[in-house]
Amino acid sequence: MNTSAVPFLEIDKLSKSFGGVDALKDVSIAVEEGGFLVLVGPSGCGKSTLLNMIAGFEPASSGDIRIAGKSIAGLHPSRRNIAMVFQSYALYPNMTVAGNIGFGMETRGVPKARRLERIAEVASILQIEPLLNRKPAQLSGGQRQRVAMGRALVRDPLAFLFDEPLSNLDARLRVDMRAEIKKLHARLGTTIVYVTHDQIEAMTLATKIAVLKQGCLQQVGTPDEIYSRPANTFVADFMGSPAMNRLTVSLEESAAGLNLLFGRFRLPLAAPASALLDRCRSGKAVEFGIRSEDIAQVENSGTDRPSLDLTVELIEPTGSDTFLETRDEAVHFTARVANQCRVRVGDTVPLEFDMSKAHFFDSESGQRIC
Amino acid sequence: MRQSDTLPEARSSGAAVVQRGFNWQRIVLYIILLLFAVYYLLPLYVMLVNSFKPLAEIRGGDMLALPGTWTTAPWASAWSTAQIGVQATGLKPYFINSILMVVPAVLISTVLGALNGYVLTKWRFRGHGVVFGLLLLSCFIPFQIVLIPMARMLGLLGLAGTTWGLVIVHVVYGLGFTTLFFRNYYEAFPTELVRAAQMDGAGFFRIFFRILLPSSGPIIVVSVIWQFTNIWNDFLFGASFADVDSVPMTVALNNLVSSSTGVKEYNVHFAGAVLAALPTLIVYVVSGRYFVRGLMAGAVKG
Repeated sequence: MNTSAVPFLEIDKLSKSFGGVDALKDVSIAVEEGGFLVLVGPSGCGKSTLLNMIAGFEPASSGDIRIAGKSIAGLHPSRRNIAMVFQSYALYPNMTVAGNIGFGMETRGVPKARRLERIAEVASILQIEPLLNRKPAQLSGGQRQRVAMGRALVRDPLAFLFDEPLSNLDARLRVDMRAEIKKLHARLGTTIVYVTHDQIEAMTLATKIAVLKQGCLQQVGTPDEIYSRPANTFVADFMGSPAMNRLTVSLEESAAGLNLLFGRFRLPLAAPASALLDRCRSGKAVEFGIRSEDIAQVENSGTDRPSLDLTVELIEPTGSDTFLETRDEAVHFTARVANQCRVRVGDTVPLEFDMSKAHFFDSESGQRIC
Repeated sequence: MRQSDTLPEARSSGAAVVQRGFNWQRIVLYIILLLFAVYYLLPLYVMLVNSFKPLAEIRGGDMLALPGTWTTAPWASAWSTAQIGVQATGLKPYFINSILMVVPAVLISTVLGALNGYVLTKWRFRGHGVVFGLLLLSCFIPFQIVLIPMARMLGLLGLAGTTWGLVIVHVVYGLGFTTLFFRNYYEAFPTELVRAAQMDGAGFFRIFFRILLPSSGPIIVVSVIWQFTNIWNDFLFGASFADVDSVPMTVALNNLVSSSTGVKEYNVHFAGAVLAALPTLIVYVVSGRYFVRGLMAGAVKG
């Protein structure tokens, strides 16, 4: 998709099996230099295994990993010129913050004066100068996180690996640190591979997202591509909160295009894609998906967007927006409406659908049709 | 360990007992505990009291009475002049023998156990479970079974009858226990730390000495106490493998007490026995409180 950029980190047909169980199947991803790749998926999807293979802790069953065109698959973790921030931070408990940051240079025989210089540099970037003589046990979660990043930073590596670095922080701090990681990336311009199960982290940080499920790559793309053109129902459900509205509909040809039929409703779709028309002609049902923000309250009846009268079952104000959950027998939608809407539970309100943002998936395979 | 998890009702009723102060259950409990304490401490009392009496007073009959005239002569005799075997050297040279045997044996078996534990948890290889199982099994082999093969082995090594021979025997026998201690301790040690150190370019030994060992204080104490007590108190190997100039304290004490020439100097025997028990006692007093803590550290997660 980002074909213009030269790939810097290439994951090429990588597979890994543990005693006959496939943890990773034939995964290929390429990132340009300075890119921010986020590996996202539910637990057990293989994202951490993939990260450990890039780091060199797990050998690949087959496939290759290259950085700047050179294979690193056979190299020891210390020779890959990659730095990692671990989920538990993995700070050496018996060393001071300065000792932690400097340990890598110490093992590589960097002279002490140079070491102290680099430690001071990194400490000033991360604003941890006052902590340099403390032990990890005396630090708060956010401070430990910074020290762990400092230890990675000081190496000046070709790429950073982050393994769910924010999962041990409380909600408030997580948002702050997320922003800091993003700023740090903008400042350093070093390639980052970042593992998370949090789709918001993935959306906010990534230049490229790879969605994994049970060891299989589902989709690779920019956050926008992943969000607005999910490759299948798994990606559609996983990315975005609240989850995309999805229901099985049957199709009917009409003068203007197509009608979607579900429950007692009929929703017109103008100018349908040819792939969808083919489905209609073969008489197959499809999966219709639409995000909550693409369903809105009818404000003036001047638009040509189709609308449905739906009964409100639940109102969830979040402050900035309000989510309306509607239900009509088996038909269930969540709509995002303006905060000041005056709707009560049980009301039937007209809601209009932005059909240009509609998604259609094969109801059997779950693959995107259009 | 689990007491904090008890139900709220149980906790509040416990608090009620404290508030009511003495009740008959508690009094009975303390009386029983006191009786047991006296029962266990009585031999020590007898030993101490009689070691400060002149021999005539002991022959007078009352073992439990305090000394009429206090004397330290039995202690001096036990330490430097008592007849042990053929010579009147006291226990002193044997005490030194024991120290020369115990210190290297404890250090070597602890270091090797730590290395074993490190490899068995952080550098796993195919069959690591079997190796650990075999090492554990060595804890259950009775001493008597290996006496003859061990004697033969020490002979072949040219170490028969030497202090270093005894050191080897004790290292081999202690390895199973020390490995068990350190393996369980390192099992709970976060592997991410080892990985972080690997990324930082640290090798096998640097990770061991810089990352793991500095965090191993409690389990080192356990290993040292365990090994020190066992090796110091060992009689069988000392009696079987030691020569004239490597006889350890325990064997010498036996020789002192069971020597059959002349009168039985009970006061000297008592003093000698206390001298023999003193080092282990000191080790326990100095580091005993770490012992239970360290033992639990590996066994209970969290």
